[in-house]
Amino acid sequence: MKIVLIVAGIVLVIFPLIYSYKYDLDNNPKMAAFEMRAKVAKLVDYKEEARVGIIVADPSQDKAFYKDAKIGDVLLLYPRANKAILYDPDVNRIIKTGEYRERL
Amino acid sequence: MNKFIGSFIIIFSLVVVFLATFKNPIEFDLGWQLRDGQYIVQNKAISRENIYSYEMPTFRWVSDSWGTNVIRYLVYDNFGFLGLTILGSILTTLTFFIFFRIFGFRYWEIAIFSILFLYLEEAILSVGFKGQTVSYLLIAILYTLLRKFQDGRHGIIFLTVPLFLLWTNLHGEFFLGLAVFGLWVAGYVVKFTKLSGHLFLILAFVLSGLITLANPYGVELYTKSVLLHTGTEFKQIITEWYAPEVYSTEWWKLVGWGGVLAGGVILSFFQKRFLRYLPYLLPVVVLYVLSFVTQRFAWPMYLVSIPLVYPMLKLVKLRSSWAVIISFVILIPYYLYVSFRVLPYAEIFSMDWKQFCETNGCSITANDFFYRYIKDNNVQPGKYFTYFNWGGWLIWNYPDIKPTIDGRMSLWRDEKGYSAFEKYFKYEIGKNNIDETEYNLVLTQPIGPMAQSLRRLVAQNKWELLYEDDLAGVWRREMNDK
Repeated sequence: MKIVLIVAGIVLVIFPLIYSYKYDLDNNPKMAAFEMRAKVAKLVDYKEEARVGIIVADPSQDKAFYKDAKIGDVLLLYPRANKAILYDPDVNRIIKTGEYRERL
Repeated sequence: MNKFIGSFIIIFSLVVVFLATFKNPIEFDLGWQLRDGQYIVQNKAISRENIYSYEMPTFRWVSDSWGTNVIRYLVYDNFGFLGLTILGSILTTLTFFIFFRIFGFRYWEIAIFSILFLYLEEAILSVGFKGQTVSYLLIAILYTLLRKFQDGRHGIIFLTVPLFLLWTNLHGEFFLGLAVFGLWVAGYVVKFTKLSGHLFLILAFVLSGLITLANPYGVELYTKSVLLHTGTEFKQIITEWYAPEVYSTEWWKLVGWGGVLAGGVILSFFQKRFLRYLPYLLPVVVLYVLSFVTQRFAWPMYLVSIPLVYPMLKLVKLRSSWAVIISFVILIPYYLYVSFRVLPYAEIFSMDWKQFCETNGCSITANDFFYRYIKDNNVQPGKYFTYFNWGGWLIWNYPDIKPTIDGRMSLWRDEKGYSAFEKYFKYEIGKNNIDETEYNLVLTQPIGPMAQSLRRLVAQNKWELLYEDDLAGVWRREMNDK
């Protein structure tokens, strides 16, 4: 009986948490940013939480920093390291690294 | 089968408590608390001087929750915000469970009172894991020992000594625990029992009090922490030290609960069990009165008043079928509400410092701008001014710059009577003019007396607004002005 109760308790806890996680994943844009940041953290060595910035919509804009970007690439900012990174989530690759203020 | 359903309802109640308290940690102070824990872990020593913010650098402060800060840091370092969320939920669920079990609540009573206590304790539970979460669990353990002592197991009372040894090194509210213990002892000894019981109890209380000095600060834990919290200075500006506003929800909760407790006490007379409940009554009366002065006392008061509800519950006789139906009617909708209307929108799995910042009304963009400005222009500490509530966030996120002031410092005053918070607060409320200071750069809210003062200075071309959004602004003194 104890085992049944424990299993029931675990299921009652886990189910809403999985549902919430899935809901977050499907509906919360910050979740994608959250996961992307974790991927990029493996590619860089900055000991700080990145600010996941804009998704590039128009790479033809005249700012030099976005010269090699394509639609869908993402800008990540590291204020302490003074770095800005352009990241291609399709191939999990950093396209460009520059100074924090370059993205302005 | 009935026993199985009863046990299932208890488990279901605990599941509901766990899920309802599954909250992101959003307390202002989290940043400096993590930094303090990190410092202790990395240096194997406590920090005595103020190394986290600029003001009062030589002030010998007391980290009265150093043990909790270590736990907090280790959990965060390994499991992030989610780890702190899970830890907070587990500790609160355990606290509720222990209280209900030691006072013999039946399964349907646990179902009802779980939901009731989630409502009563909503204000503290809404900010996720915090130091009080640990203290409330320790209060539950203390009450377990007291209850067993009352039931005749006198020797067990000496376990309060290791309990308070742990408590004094975990969280500053050990003193509240000690006060509750002392009041319980006072209530117990007024009735006649065997002398050996009294001696055991009083000796255990004295030893428990003495053992609280076995902490890294010794007696300074009292003189620089506990006693400071008994003063009234600045309490009006720290939210949880406010008195609950008359006719507010918290005030009505107190009044309503007072009625329930009065009913319990009156019934205990008729049941000829008043003296048995007296030890539990004294801490409740003191905390109840204090709750109208300072709302943070209401949260432990609700917990320690659980035993006083028992005389009323004894009157209620329910057929088991009705008890089961009532339990499920209460628990199932609440479970569904929390699972599908609260948790999915709580952004628990994407919690980060940006969200933490936004939840606390700060702007990460403004903070990043401010930080980069300081680094790029080599602005020295003492030349910039930061908003009090964001101090903890700044301490954790930018360890290479020091905010002017942070959440630890509202009660600090040195031997010469200097208080950094007093100085700070006069600028925040516009009593002192920021222009007549050494500060050349300010990060603060875009509204309020200080922002108004800065806007006037901008209009006079004495200062310049460098950055502004809905939550924060960064102002700089015009350099030709000073």
